[in-house]
Amino acid sequence: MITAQDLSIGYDTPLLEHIDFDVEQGECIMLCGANGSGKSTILKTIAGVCKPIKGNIFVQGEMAMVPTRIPKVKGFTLKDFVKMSCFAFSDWSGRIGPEFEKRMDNVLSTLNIDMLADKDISSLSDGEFQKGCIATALVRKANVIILDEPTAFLDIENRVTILETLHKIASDTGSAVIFSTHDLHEGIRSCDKVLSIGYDGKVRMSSEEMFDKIETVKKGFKNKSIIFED
Amino acid sequence: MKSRNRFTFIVAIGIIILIVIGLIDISIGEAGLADTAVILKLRLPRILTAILAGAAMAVSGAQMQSIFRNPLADPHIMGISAGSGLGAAIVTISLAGIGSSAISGIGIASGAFLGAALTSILTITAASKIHNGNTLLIFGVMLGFIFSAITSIIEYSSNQESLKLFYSWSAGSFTGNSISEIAILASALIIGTLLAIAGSKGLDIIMFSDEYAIMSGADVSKIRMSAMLSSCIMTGAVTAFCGPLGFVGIVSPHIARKLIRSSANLHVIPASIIVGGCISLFADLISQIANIPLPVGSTIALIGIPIILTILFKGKDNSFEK
Repeated sequence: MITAQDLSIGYDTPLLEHIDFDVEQGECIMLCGANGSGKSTILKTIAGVCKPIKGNIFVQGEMAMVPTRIPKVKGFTLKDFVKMSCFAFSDWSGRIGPEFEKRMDNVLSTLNIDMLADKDISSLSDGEFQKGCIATALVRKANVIILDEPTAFLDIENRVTILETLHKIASDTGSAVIFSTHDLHEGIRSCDKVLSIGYDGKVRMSSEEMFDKIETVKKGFKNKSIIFED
Repeated sequence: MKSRNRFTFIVAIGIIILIVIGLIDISIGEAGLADTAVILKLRLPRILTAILAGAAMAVSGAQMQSIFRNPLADPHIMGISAGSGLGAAIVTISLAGIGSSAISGIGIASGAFLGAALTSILTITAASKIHNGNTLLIFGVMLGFIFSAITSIIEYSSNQESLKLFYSWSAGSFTGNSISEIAILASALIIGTLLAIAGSKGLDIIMFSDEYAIMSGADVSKIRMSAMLSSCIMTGAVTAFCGPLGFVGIVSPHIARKLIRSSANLHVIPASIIVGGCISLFADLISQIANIPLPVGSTIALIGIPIILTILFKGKDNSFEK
């Protein structure tokens, strides 16, 4: 679903070079690396927001990206918020067709937030709102879903719930899900593979083995005292 | 009550209040309701001007607050009023030797409109190049400072007569506008509002963040340009015919959002039109009751400042975000 070939990314000068990886249908990938290592830039390059400096990135099918920390603007219901993300598919007044309406209802109930549909988003908890953000990608019927730090600022319970939800979406719908996070311990258990940006500037993709996932994560950080317990 | 029903209810109530204030306003004066000529030639044009000006500033404010994600934004912050002030000041100096007050009045209105139009062109050009909302906001504030500084220099070197002329324009007034001027004001409001309504879904999504808007397929530069163009048309016309009107643009959208309990601009914009019209007309009514020539700008400020302070000190309403 996503293929990177000898990819160089960055803004004016290359931040990361010689990136090669493949993400298959139904895979859930955790992207990790230190602050400023280029996680968001990789995600934005996959999403087509940033152009590659060199090399190629191929994405098959519909793609949706959920940026990090979307503010909860008062005066919009959860339904309004999810509808709004269908900007390209709605009419001038923001109305979406019956097919999208039906899909939105299904997505909200899949994520267990259907009872919150008519609530103002400013009254939702961070975890509930994050599920709403995930719904914005699902409602667009994207088969490649990219999330930039979906667990930022969430408590442990919400972090685990969100990451498990993402894993379930990938396995149930066959979509390719790629998310960046600093919550390595929870993330490593909820992903199929790890894509790690090393402190040496190399981008590595792990296998599905837990041992390899842990080793790949560790290569992202200089500090060797980062420990993972099974 | 469902949000759609609530919106219809609030707009209906708002229209009734507007009519009531209008009827009281039109009946105040020495001749009461007896003199038809006074009503048709003086009071009705003044009332229509007040409603149109308040409504236009309110729609501009609602758009500015959305595109800059700033609850205290309005057309003044983009330097448009300062630009029209500079235009008016230049014309005042140029017309200092001409005695006719009619020529001076038209001249000042034209100068103010040209000043607003030129500022708008500058701002719209900047909006096409500056993609960051905060940078664009700072650009507008700086532009306003520059124009105000030049206006002060011109004022300093003006004679007494031109200063009086300039100050009477800058104090703001709803009186003295002809039917054709009111028609221009109404056209500006209709064009500006249509642009705002057509762009309402863009105004909604940009309130969240540029990134979220872009990821959802919106063109943020186009949204900002359209909102700026709409606001510039309306503010230009209002400042030309009524002088710089502050506060209506800031407070009306807030009151509208609170009343309809929604931030969706498809509903906020029509509700702001009613609220802006009511505030502006109420300010005019106070001026008429006081029976002394109160500058409209000051009257609106006296009504608006307590509302702004309430917004500022009521912590949870400090921002659109939570």
